[in-house]
Amino acid sequence: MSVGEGGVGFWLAVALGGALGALLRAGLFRVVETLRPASRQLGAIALGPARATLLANTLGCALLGWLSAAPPDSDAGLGRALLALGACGSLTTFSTLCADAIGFLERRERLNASVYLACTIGLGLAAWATGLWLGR
Amino acid sequence: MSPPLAVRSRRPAPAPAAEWLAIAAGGAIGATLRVALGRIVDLGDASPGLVAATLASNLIGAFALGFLLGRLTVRPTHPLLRPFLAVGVLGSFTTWSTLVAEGHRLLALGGAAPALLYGFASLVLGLAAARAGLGLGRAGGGAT
Repeated sequence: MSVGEGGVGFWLAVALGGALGALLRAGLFRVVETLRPASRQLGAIALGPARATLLANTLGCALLGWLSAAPPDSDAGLGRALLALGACGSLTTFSTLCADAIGFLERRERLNASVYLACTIGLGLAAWATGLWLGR
Repeated sequence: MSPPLAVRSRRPAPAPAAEWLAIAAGGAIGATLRVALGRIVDLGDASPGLVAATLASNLIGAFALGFLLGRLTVRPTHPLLRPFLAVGVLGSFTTWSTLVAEGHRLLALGGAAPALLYGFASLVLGLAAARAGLGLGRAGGGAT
């Protein structure tokens, strides 16, 4: 079985990582929903299920930052395909982020939409940098 | 009043194992499609080629998820369609971590302007794509 870039092993690793990332994201959703009911509010801010997306996106950025710290030519082609391309790429999501934000805007919850987008961007950048720093 | 757009709805749940399997299968397909698109749209390691593939998959995915969620509000479907397509395929086809990593790379390569432009354009176009998909899904969902 070829394990190089573009070989069968590479694509299997991407697919497996993608499945794991999606399962982890869905699992985080369940955990967040169970731990704190969506009705719980922090002042006027109530992100509801979008908190799970925020958590998944932040965790994925931290993990990808940490993975990015390793030298790219180290013998980790399959590991990179599995974790960076597959798992991190799938754990984090852009489509749900946009749908969440549009949901807030359609319900005229401008504060929630702003806080959600600002937290996603700010925490994502901070998590990526922290992961990179930890990996070095 | 628009229905909520949360990833899960309060529908009758299918068997949990089937739902997790659908999410895993969708995730595998979505990730493979994303990486394959990256191989096809390989424009080299300089901006804007660096970010073209991620931008493309994110915008396509945002539009498709909007369309799917819009359609689900007007037309009932198989209970596993949402976990498979919305959570699995489209959730994994689009990515946030790669966008953030590419933003940092643009910052290192070309300074703040390209990085900010990339982030801003991704979000504005992504929101517009999701909204357009949602509108189309709601409008055309009952047709067939």
